Amino acid sequence: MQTEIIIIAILSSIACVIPGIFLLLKRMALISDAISHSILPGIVIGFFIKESLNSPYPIIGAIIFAMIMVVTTEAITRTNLVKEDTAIAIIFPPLFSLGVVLISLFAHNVHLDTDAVLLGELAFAPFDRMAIFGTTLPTSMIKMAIILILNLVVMLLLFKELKVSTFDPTLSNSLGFSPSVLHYLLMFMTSITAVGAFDSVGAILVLAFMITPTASALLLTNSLLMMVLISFGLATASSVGGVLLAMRIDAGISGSITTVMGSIFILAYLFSPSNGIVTKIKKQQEIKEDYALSILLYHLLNHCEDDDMETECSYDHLEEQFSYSKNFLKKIVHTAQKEKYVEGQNGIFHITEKGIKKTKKLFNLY
Amino acid sequence: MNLLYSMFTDYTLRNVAFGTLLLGLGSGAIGSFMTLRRQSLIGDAIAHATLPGVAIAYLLTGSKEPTLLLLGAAIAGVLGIGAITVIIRTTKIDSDGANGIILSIFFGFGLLLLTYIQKLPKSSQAGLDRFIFGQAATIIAKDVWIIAIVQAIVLLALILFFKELKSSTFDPNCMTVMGFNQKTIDAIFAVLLVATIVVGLQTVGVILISALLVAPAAASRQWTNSLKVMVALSSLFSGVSGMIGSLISASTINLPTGPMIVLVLTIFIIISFLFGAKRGLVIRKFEQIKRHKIFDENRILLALSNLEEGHEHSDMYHSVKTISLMVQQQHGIKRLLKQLTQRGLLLDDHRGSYALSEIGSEKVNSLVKEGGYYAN
Repeated sequence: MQTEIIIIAILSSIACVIPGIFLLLKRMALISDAISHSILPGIVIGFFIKESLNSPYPIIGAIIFAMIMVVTTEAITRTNLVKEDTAIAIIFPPLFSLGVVLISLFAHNVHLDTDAVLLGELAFAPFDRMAIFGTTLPTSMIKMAIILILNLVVMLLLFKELKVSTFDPTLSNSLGFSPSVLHYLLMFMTSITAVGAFDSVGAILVLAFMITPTASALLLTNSLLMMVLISFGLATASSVGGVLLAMRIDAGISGSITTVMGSIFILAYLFSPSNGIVTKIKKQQEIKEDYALSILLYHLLNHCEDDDMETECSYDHLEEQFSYSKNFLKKIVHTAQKEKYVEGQNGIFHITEKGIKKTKKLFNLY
Repeated sequence: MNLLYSMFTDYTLRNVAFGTLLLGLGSGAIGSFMTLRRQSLIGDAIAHATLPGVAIAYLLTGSKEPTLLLLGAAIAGVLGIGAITVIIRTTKIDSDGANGIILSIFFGFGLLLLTYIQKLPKSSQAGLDRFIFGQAATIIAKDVWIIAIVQAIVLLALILFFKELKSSTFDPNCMTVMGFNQKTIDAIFAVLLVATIVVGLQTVGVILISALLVAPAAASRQWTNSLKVMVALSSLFSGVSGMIGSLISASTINLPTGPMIVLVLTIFIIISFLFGAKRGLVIRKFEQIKRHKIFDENRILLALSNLEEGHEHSDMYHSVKTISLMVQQQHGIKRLLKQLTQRGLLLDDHRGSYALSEIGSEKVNSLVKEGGYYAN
């Protein structure tokens, strides 16, 4: 059963990552959140038709409401009455509220409560099974597998088109594939994925599954293809880690997976080899030290034949001249001595042959 | 009427109605600034980010005292807004992405903690998960006081820093030049925002509190171009919606408060979008029709004047057919010609031909001077 839960988690997270990548790069990450909230009334109405969540009606209803949300947002943005972010922020709350009101008015006695829809519970997913290939598999596993395959097929077939329309809509238009068609395709993909994932992952955390592994990958690479592969890897790792963590401490699975995804993001933010904060600070420090070293060498070279060389090249004078902190100066002088650019006697420094060569090379003095 | 009466007599109803009214007053005001700063979605992110604060406050203290839990929520909210700012500033992730990441990481972690607490022996998370959806009915007089005090401070701070907030919203560069520190103002604004959101959590819940900030601002924007009026109107819309929504929800069993408030707010938005005095769609349509009419009339006058110049010695009357050929328009042209005649701009020979009158010629001259078709 644990294996089944892990498989469902992996399928859902990879399926979510595919639209997530393009949403994040197109700077519209939060539209997935808005979509996953807006589908609620569609699910509820679809539920009432057959009094069951397993008929196709909730999915159809959800897709209709997702499209209502996308189209209305664009229509409102086009009127220029409000900006796009405001348009998103005023569309999804009433749709979501409508869903909650419908549930509380008509469905408080049936198996459909807001907690289950919004927060999801992967642990229950294996109980709902259907027969296939002579065995029984969890319904949500089959559902997510189908959605994942659909997303993969769309991405593989249209990778070039999606790439161009994401990064350069104008070029995409002039090459003959309309960015708005691809935009609607992406919205459709996001909606289907959100609908499929909502009952196992929960409406709110669909956003986490779509954005978090993707953003971590964005911090780790600058290539789209690598980004796709890394986010798949991170999604898989977080799903496995998250389910195991949840079993260990006996907590909700989707929250646990998100926490693991979040931890990975923090790690990527701090330690990414190309963009990480720690890496950046280290690099800055190195540049600062290199600069200080070259200035020290230049100073020593400049004064090595002066009459007042003894004062100019004394340690005390250097301290005064450069106004570095004591530790920093010590470190720089130490590096210079270690590299044999400088020789020190009684607190007075002489630049060596090697040091002169190095300085001339640094400052192009030939 | 009965409901309004019981608003003052029924203890729970009174608390809920006044609580939501006060909440709306503050959230509408600060929401205006948030929307104008193009940060509409940050409210949603902060609201979700408060959840782990609630859970940790409970885990640390073991008490369900609302003040403590709200304090935890506020700390988490401030951390969340700080993290969003840092991510935007130090990575290539945009504001949408940063909001989404912080929203989901914090909320997911909060959910992990809540489900963990739920399964701890001798404790239940009942009372904690009401922060997710909000339960106005559980509000007691003390909560109303907390809302009142916090919102009073928020409103006071908004009035005090009105000038600074205004210039930092519309022209940050100007503000820096004038010697105010943008970061300080941003920090003050963030704290006020978090405070407003946190006191609203109990009533409206994590998911819908952002609507209380953005929706009234979006509605009030359609009525005015003045910031002061917009803030006041937004505050009013939000307060009134809060009260109406909570009263409706109290009148029917099982109607949740938060969603009802949001639906009432949405009615305000729809009315404002359609009929807003400054920018509303209906007004805009009317003005468009009016402009079209002026444009068509001017074209007829100019066409007649051109015809006159071309045929100096012949009859100055021209048939409807000629005129409609000149302006390349047939639809409604007879009506326009009649109207122009009534206003004395044209002369009618009652045989289906029209000519410019004295006033008409003057009008053409002034039109040519002012620049043609579009002049009024």
